[in-house]
Amino acid sequence: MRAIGLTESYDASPSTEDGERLVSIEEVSLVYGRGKKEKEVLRNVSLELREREFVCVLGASGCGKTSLLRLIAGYEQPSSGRVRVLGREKAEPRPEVGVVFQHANLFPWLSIRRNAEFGLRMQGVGRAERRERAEEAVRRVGLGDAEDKLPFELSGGMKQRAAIARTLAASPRIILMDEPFGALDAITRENLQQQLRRLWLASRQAIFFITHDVDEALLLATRVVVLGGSPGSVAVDAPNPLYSEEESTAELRKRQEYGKLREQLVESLKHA
Amino acid sequence: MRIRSWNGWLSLLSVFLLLSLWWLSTALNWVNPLFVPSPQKVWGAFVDICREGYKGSPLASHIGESLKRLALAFFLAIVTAIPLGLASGYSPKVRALIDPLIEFYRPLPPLAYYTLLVLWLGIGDASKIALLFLAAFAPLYIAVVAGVARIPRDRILAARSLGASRGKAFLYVIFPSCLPDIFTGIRTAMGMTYTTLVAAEMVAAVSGMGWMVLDASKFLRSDVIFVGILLMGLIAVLLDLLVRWLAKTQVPWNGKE
Repeated sequence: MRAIGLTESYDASPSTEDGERLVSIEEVSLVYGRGKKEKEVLRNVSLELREREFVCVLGASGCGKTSLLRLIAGYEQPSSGRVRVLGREKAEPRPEVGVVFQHANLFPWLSIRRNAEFGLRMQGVGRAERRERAEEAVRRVGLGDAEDKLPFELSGGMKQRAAIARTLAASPRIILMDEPFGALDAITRENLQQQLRRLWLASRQAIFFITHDVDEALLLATRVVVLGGSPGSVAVDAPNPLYSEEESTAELRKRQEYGKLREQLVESLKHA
Repeated sequence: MRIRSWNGWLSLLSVFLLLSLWWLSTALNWVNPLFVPSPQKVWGAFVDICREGYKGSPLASHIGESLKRLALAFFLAIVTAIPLGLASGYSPKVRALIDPLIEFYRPLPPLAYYTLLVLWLGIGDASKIALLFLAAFAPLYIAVVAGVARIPRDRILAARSLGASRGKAFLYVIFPSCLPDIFTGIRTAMGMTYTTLVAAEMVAAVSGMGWMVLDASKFLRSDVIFVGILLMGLIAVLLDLLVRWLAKTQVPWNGKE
């Protein structure tokens, strides 16, 4: 692991070291396929996610970031090493670990509210309570007016907000997000970043966020991880010096050190 | 919008042209009226059959008998082909068990195995319904298997991450995901059963639209044959419209994901 400039201004970053460790990945490798088709996507990756952290994993496409998320989600089994999520090593999806996909991936036959209810329904929560909690989640992402619509009636940004509401409503302890804003236009993306930031500041739910967008990482993360190479490995893992609880994303962008940090991060991405 | 309404007129025009040609060819004696009855004569036969029935049963009961057989066969196909198709799509093992049987019987001409069905089930309604059922089963089953294969994997994973067990994911995600394909399958299956209807009413039937046409042909009643064919065609169009309407109201998201 290379040291980078990010650590120079460590003082502004939050102290999360004391938070409970929710995810720990130890020397994990992941190999897809067999024989001639064998492809190693991750090599010797170690990472952790603690309570109240917002970790952004940056990396160029094909560096295995999505595979990393799928390991934590329980969709994949590591070829070697250990993936421990909330004290368990078994690779199996579960409601404590919520996932927001790159494409909203909503259930097309359910209204936005019923989509948000889905997790609670699967967990056997009663009708009245799940309705209330789903409505609350839909309101939190600002879709209160659209709750009775079907997903195909919404724009891309609204769909993605609905997907976030669906995950929030199930109240997971960890939220995994796989480039959730990657397919949106610039303005919508900025709106959603702003909104996600507000949501996170209010709840401090642990988030593991994958992106290829340097600005997104700097604006949202408490800690930035740069994944690079093929097979992918961790090149940088450092607290985000720009992290701040007060400022809006627009104000963060205006901060003096923003440009310099951004450049450093881009540089480390290139060499990762 | 303008173009669409134009197309509607074009469709009407082609129907109108065909009817005029039919009328002209009979009015000007281009064809032997024994083989091609005039529209007036067909209308007359229709009115007759409506009033007095055909060979002892009223027209409504001929239509009713045919529809009853179709409906029963269809109901059986839906309650078997859909669950089996879902299971096959979900589990390669189930698929390996069922697929060879279906792949074998599907291309067989229905009349070939109808003889067997009559031997086994007798000449009553059971063999007819079994034949129609087999005709409906294969296309429905195949559509459902294809539907399951098309479900985005992430959709199932999303459900699992929201706390759905495998069984619940099957019921609450895989089944509704396949609804558009189920409706497509129902439309194809409807066509298949309908084409087999006449064959099913060939042996030892005394009622039904298919039987009426076959019986009329024995007595060279081409006017009755025409009435039967036109009726079957109209009913088929109406049934298809019904399924399409159901699909539109039940799966409004189809094609818009």
